[in-house]
Amino acid sequence: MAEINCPICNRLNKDEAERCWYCQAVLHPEKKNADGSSDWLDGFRQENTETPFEESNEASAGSDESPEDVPDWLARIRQREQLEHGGEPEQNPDGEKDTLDWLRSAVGNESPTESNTFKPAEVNEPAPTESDNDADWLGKLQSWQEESSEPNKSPAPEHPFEQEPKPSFSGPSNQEPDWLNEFKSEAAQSEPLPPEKQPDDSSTGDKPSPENISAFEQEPKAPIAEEPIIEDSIPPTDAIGFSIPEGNVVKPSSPEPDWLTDFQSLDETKDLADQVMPKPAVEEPVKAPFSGRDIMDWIDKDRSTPEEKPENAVEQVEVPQGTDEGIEPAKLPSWLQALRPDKSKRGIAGSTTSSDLNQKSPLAGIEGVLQDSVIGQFYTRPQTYANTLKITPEQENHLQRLQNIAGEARWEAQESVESKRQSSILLKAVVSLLLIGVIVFTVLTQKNSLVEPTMYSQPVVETFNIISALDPAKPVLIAAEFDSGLYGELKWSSESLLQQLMARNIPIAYLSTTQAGSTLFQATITDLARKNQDYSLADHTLNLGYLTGGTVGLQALANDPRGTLPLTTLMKPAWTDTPLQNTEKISDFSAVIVITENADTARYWIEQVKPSMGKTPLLVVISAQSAPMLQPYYDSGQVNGYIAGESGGTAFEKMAGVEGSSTSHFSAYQSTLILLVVLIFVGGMISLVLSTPSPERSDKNQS
Amino acid sequence: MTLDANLIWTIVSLVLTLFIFSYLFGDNILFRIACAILVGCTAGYLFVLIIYRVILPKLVVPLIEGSLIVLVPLFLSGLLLTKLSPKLSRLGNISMAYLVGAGAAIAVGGALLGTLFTQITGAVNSFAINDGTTKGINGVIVLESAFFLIGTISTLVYFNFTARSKDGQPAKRSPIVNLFAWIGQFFIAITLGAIFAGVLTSTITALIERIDFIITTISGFFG
Amino acid sequence: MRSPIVPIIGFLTGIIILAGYFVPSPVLEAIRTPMLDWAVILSGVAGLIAIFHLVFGVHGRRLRDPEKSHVFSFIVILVFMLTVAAGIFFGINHTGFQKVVTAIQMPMETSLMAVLAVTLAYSSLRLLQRQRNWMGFVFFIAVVLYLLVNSGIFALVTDITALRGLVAGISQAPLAGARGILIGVALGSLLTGIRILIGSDRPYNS
Repeated sequence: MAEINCPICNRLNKDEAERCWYCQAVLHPEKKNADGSSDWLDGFRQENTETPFEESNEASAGSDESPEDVPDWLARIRQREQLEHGGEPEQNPDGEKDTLDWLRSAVGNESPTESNTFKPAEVNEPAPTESDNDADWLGKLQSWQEESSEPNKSPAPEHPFEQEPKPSFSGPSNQEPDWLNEFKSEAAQSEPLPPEKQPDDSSTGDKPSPENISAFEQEPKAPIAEEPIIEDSIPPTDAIGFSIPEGNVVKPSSPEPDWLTDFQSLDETKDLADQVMPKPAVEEPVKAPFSGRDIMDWIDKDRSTPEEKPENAVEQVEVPQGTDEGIEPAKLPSWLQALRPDKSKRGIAGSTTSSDLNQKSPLAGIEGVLQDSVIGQFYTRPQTYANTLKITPEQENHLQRLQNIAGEARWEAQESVESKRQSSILLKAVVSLLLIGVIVFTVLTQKNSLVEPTMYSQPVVETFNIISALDPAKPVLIAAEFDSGLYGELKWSSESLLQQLMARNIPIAYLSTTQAGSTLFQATITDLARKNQDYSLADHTLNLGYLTGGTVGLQALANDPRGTLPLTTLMKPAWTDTPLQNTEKISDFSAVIVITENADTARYWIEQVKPSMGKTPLLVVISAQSAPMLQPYYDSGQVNGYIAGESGGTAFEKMAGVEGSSTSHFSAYQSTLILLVVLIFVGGMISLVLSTPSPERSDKNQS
Repeated sequence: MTLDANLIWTIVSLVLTLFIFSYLFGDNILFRIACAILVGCTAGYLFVLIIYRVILPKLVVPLIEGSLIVLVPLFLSGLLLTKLSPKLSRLGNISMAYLVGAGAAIAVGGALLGTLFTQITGAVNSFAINDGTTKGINGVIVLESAFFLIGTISTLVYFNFTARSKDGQPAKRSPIVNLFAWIGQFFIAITLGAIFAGVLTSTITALIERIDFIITTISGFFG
Repeated sequence: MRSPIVPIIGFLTGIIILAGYFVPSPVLEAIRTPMLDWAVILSGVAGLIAIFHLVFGVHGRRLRDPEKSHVFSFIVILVFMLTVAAGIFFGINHTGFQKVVTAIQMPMETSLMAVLAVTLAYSSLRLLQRQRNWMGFVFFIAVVLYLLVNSGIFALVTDITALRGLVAGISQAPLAGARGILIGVALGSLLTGIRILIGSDRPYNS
């Protein structure tokens, strides 16, 4: 498929396409420029229907402009112009709109100067679309061109928009905004375009003069994507050759600025840029995509004074025109060229002048694009806001009142917390005194217990029976698996059992997997041996010492007791010439008695050692806190009997017919427990009756 | 009166006991000093105990006697000592793996053979329909055993929180599971109540023992 | 990727020891017995390392930290050193050295339990204040009931057979829940042990 280059952006397009896919410029201006009108005017002449958003009208690109596409304001302008110039108002019953009619009328009467003139015919610009609506303003533009070319016949300046533009518009004054009224006065002075130069449209109006068009040069070039565009002030899409994002077009909510009148008072000898586009006021921040901080360094650095810039001016790289080698340079439309700042005024405009800037920046090679004043106008620092909160005096009064109320509530809460704390301390003191008082009283008075225990639990009975039936020739292995915390309870509970063993001269070998067990047990049997002179500790007891490793040590003991504990604490052989000399394995013991306060320790012995014991009974002396967890093992037969706590020890003593430590302290024990029951019951009833739960707690309990 | 060593130690015990009892009035420096002494003593005693009961008889003496097999635990112990150094601690992972592997295997074996099988067997054997004393089925035993079996199962179900989720509905257990869990709460409450009562009992016994010691000691001072 | 040697050692050790529970083989027993003995020794060494870390790692660091109060750490380290020195000097079997346990350790730990009794008694007064649901109420009733059972006051009703049976039944009631808890604990131990053996959990990898 044949392809052609776009005259504007020089990109490849299909030959059959009428407009460039990228910049929407007309690809075949020679077809449309039959009447010799300027190429750049073709862009203005394009119909509204030729916008890229209206695909249905692409086929009719270059055809007549439909009446409904011409904006109302443009139609009114044309009508006014026609009236002023003696022409019939254009018959536009449907509100025929023309593109850039305002431009035509604005620039039609001005005499162009040398610097403002341009030769649209000298550049390859898209031909204007022939239509009745374009005739008037095109004619005016052409007449303007003729006027400009006649005096000096100089080539089109590169920057025709630099000089003061003096646009003039014509139209009915009673319907137009103020700025248009002013244009009327100027347009009335302009000469009508020659018929052959006029465009096909019937709208009248002054042709834009180079001076007027120079106003566009100073127009702030807002980024299309981010700045909303006032619909009435910009011609339709394809007229100028760039596309307007659909969402950015907004209706003007305020009257158009009187910008054209300002141009009349411009002083040509001074900096036009500053005169045309003064720096914006502080209270009107320009919505720009970049803030002053975000400006890239290469832009920021190069902001030098206007006086300095001419010294650092860099010559623009001249692009050879029409060279045989390489790509033919693009021929920019005259209006686009006019928009570009003049090289000589680069310093004033504030464009980049340093060599570094031109070589390193993204716009390298393109000279004079950025304008300091433009940047200064758009790229300003963002508005900073203070952290302080602005409140009125009334609000401050409310706040003070609220603080006072909250302060009172906080103080009350602190008071209640303090009172609660004091009450809890008092209650704790009362409970302590009660308990200690009862214990002291019963210990000192040595009163008998309130109720003598007559019910003996089955495990205690079994234990007693087993102990009574032990073979005195075989030793008993005692595991003193207790820590110092509950030593008192276990000592009282096991005392009578040990006394039974001593009374029957049964050898005892003891060990411990806890660090203090064997030492404390040794102290216990030493004390008991004083009461039983016939029992020689040296002959009948053997301290196998400390067995480390927990369950690993127990499994090792069950597997090989001789190898696990070969020596006594005196570093002598434990299994030769001792009561253990006939003992090879665990099952050779007459019984294994575990004294512990921990249910887990009892469980480890049951799990690891009991399977190796065979028929050897396993008895446990356990504290009251672990007794419920031992019940299942007793029920399953793994534990043959157990003594639980003070009550179990007392029951054993009763069964054995001795009065040991358990019995002597049973009255204190029973009294204290009954007192505790009373306290708990009364406290529970009071809690139940008096205090009410919080809603959060009740919700939690119900969930 | 000569100061007997036993008397001195008794006085020390009394003073330390009173230091601990001072906590009833609130946290204070005497209580903290006593706790610090307890920690130091316990650590020191255990240190000496391990040296005399484990290291010397099981490592040093066999090595002196020429046993070569003790080189393996000696090597593993050396690797374990590298745990004290942050840089070399990774070398101790081998010994730790050995210890943990042994402990895990023992835990598995003990749980299986020592608790699981035996307890399930015990729950089943409780249904001794004929207890041998009476002819026929002892209904009381059956009821009792059924009560305990339901209690055991419902306690296990209570700790089972597996739920099935349906489309658009939150995950929840089936009604039967919920019913058993509700019943299980009842048995768990009873068991925990019994355990808490046992804890109270044990601690009251310890309190009685200490007060008895204080009274005995003080009365011994005054004849 | 971490080295697989460590998990393999743990796995092999565990498998050999576990197999001894189920396979009565003399060869296996010959391998298993010294392995258990080595584990006992390693446990002792691990205890030594733990003590070193506690005394010199934790309390020693507190001594070096200028911000924290180090009086009590100083006491801990001092008492530790004195105890070790006494144990090495006198020997572990010396009665004087054993007073460390019987005259220092035991009275203090028992006293701590005694103070705990007062604290628990005070907390028990507010049982129903916190748990106001039916499970809390059952717990409250169970506590009161089993305190009475432990106190032995139900001996008053031993003459009444029905009540004696009731008291016996009350004493047996925790059996069901305890059995369920024990089975649950055993299942948890079983699963945890298997996870360690197969390498899913590696608590030894630091």
